[in-house]
Amino acid sequence: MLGFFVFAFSDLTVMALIGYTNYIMPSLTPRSVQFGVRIPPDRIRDSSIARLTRNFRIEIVMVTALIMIAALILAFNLGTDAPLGYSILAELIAVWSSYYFTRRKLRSIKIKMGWTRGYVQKIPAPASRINYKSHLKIYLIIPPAMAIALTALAAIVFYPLMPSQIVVAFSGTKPVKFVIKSLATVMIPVYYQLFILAATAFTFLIYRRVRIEPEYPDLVSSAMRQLELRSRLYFSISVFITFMDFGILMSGMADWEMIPGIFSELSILPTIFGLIAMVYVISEGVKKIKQNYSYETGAAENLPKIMNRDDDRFWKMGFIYYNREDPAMMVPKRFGLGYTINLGNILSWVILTVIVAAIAIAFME
Amino acid sequence: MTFMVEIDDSLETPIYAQIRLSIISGIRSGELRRGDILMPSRELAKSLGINYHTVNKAYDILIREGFLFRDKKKRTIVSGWNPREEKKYLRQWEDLERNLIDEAMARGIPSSTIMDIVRHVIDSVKN
Repeated sequence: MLGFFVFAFSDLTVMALIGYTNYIMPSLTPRSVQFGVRIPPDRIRDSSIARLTRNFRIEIVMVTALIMIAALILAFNLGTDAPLGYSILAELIAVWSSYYFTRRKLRSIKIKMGWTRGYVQKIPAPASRINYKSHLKIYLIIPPAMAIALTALAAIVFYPLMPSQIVVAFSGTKPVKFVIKSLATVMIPVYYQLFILAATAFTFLIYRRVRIEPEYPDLVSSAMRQLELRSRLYFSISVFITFMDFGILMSGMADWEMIPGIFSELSILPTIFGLIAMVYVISEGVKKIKQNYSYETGAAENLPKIMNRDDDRFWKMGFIYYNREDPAMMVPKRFGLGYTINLGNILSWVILTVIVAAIAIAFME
Repeated sequence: MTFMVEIDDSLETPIYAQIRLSIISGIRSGELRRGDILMPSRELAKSLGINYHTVNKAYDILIREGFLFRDKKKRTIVSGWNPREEKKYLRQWEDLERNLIDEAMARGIPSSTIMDIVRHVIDSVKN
């Protein structure tokens, strides 16, 4: 029963966080890209965008609440947490649909009203005195590294007290799979932690090479905003994986029979708290970034008639980037944080194939 | 302050020429100063979403013209303007100008109009 409540709490928290992240997403994306549509500077404050944003947010709140309630009722009636897991998928589809239709509406308004008429469209890029790689700080590795060191230390200290066979899998609170105790087998939690750290570091190293996209009318300020947001994202993920590592340590302690097996089920909780911390760090960061790098769009008639190139045509369904002319393999997401691949680049297909193959192999095993 | 290169891919002017002009304009306005290191051509190309040979071409022309140079670490650096090149440059510039004025006069445009256009261009560049 405890397992059911822990999973219900975890799934519901994840659903709430997905809802909240999407609720604040219009504030996180670059100002000249609203719902995946390139907007000229004098239209950023347009009433139709404000209306669409309001409607999108209402949809997100309603969809999240409805799916959470429906999943909870189903889970209680069936006595299993399975509906909660599927409901996360349902929420993701619903949120994406809401984005997709909002984008379509905005795009048709933009085309119908001729928003880009009379505008010179340019592609700006920083060419000096900006080092966007330096925003990834090496000290971000310290918190997860310390959590890993603590886990390794616990494995060594508790080694003599551990049973001769170590639990590696539970079914509920019942241990179902064992391995013989050795220094290599008690370090299994550390291997997981190292894998997570390596995968995160790899993702960060790619992300720091992904371009930023300065926006008219204030190219420098908008570039700095994007870089600061990236810094916040790095920091929040470092916090998240540190919490996750503590969850793994907790699970390891249960596997080593140093704490009751029930903690194995509770070990998801630090990860959930980590997710909450991550979203908190990002949303607080956005407030600070807005204060530090605010720029006024000014009165529409005073703005020079220059806008970022209308690149909507390269974004299929609002989230798939396909541009054969673009040598970049990774580009910033159109709606959301992080990056996505350019499917117009042959190398992207190679990487995609490798990832799909790796996932398929992992599932087969 | 960060210097931004701006290109417009709908123009007939080739992209490499636009990058060249953008950098020259940066040097003239003081946004780019002597010793400033420019982005490596590969990175600038990725940021602009264009082929890196295009950026290389612009950099190479600017190096030949003396606005940029490459150091031992292969970094592309702003060299500013070398006064020793001035006489040679002015001679080239006069030839170009002579050709343009010749062509305009052949089309019957009066010299006063040509002078007005030159003044207007100087003012717009300054602003």
